[in-house]
Amino acid sequence: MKKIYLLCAGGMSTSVLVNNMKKEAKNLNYECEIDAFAVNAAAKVGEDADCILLGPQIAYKLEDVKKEVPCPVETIDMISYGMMNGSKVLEQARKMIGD
Amino acid sequence: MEKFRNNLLKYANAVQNNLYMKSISSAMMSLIPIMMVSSIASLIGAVDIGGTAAFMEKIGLKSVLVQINNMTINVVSIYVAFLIAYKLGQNLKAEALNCGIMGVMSFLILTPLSVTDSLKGLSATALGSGGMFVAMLGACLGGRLYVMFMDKKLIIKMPESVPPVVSKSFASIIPGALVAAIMGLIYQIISLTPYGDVTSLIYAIVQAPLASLGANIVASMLIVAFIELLWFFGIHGVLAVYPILMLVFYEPQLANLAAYGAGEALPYIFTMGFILGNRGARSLAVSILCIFNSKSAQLKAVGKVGLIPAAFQISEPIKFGIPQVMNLRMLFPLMITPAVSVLSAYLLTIIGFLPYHNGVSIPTGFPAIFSGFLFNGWQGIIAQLIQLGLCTIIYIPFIKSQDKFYLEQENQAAEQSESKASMA
Repeated sequence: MKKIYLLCAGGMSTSVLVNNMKKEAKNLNYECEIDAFAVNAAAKVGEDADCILLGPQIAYKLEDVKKEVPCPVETIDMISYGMMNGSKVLEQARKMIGD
Repeated sequence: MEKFRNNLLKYANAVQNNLYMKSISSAMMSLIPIMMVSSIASLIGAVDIGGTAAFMEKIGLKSVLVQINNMTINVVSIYVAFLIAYKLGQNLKAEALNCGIMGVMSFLILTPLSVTDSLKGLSATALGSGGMFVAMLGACLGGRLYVMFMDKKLIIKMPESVPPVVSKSFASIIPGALVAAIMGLIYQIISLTPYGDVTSLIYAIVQAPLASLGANIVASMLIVAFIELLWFFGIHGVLAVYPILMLVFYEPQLANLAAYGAGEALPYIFTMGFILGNRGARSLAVSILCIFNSKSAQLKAVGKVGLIPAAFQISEPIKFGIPQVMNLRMLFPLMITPAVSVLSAYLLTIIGFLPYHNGVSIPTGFPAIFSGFLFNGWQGIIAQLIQLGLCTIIYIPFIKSQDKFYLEQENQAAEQSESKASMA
């Protein structure tokens, strides 16, 4: 099962988005594990992640996070994040994994 | 605009990525469980409804709480020294555990022993919040030196035949001894100065000036406004300035917590909690205005999505959804609302209505308004409600302006599709 991890400052705002993504994944019958973490834990959780998405407010950490993890890393765009758009971000994640 | 943003980004990155800042920041985050324990113990101990306080003393609960406090907040510098050196070791990809030990050792060597008639001991002043900077210094210096000595292979080399476990433990002897010697030397030299010991010296030349630099309302207002300026550029404001904020306002926070736990008067107005906790429930204000005071579909939708997160102190949906990020229309209210809120809290404090912030740490996402109760009692709730009111009033014209903008867009889009339909 693919592991999609979202990172933000404390793992809190992303957890709202994660719930919306999980709902969308269920609608699409797409099996995956989606979770939210604090960006400080990037190296640890990046070990087994298939892709990592950063909240736009920590977009400036993109290069640092890329250095710490082997999987693809992208930032979520502001509007999708602001509207907690589960389907758009899930789509982005799937493209990153190649699913 | 773009250049300014890039410069801000560079600054945020530089501060964040400085080796020592990084280690100190993440050490402070790891310290949170200790702070929580101490906060909970203090909060429970402060409850006095009916005869609960006397009851707690009778069943011995009060003394348990006091002991918990004494061994957490009043010796916090020991934890800090270990954690900073440990994280430093991790960041330098060295033996983190040994670094942590070196940090504690360095801190303790630099701390004076107090001798009274019956007792030789370490004072709570030196081990508690008053020793925080010594802990930071000792941990950074001691940890860094240890790693440097280990890297330079200033070690006792054992012959090949000796098992690696043994040669490893011998290897750290010389670096450890060197660090101890250096710390001891510093301790001795400082004891010959008028300050008498490192703790007093650091307090006088570092901690006190830093605290007084920030301990005024203008600095506080500027800081919270600057944090929002960073948000305007889409950078997480608090995260970016956290290390600097901590250097100036963490020790007052700890001192207040220690006093709160001991039932003493709170010494400081300006603490981390006062500044960050009195910025006003402004995202909540914005969501309410969007839902009830807007006509455009866009703002109504954003308000609905953002309301519950905002109630739990999560402001991103509002910040990115309106959007407030990179939206000049929102820049002024974005920066002015936390400044006005902090000012109102300050005014309420100096007239004697609002008690000082008690330094307690609460879980992230604890609802706004109610958090005021934990920090300042019922007066805190009133203060937060006043801030909510002020933020709402300030935002009304700006949300209206944004609403008008979206309404025009939506009407235009509706007209276009109507005319397309009528032409078909």
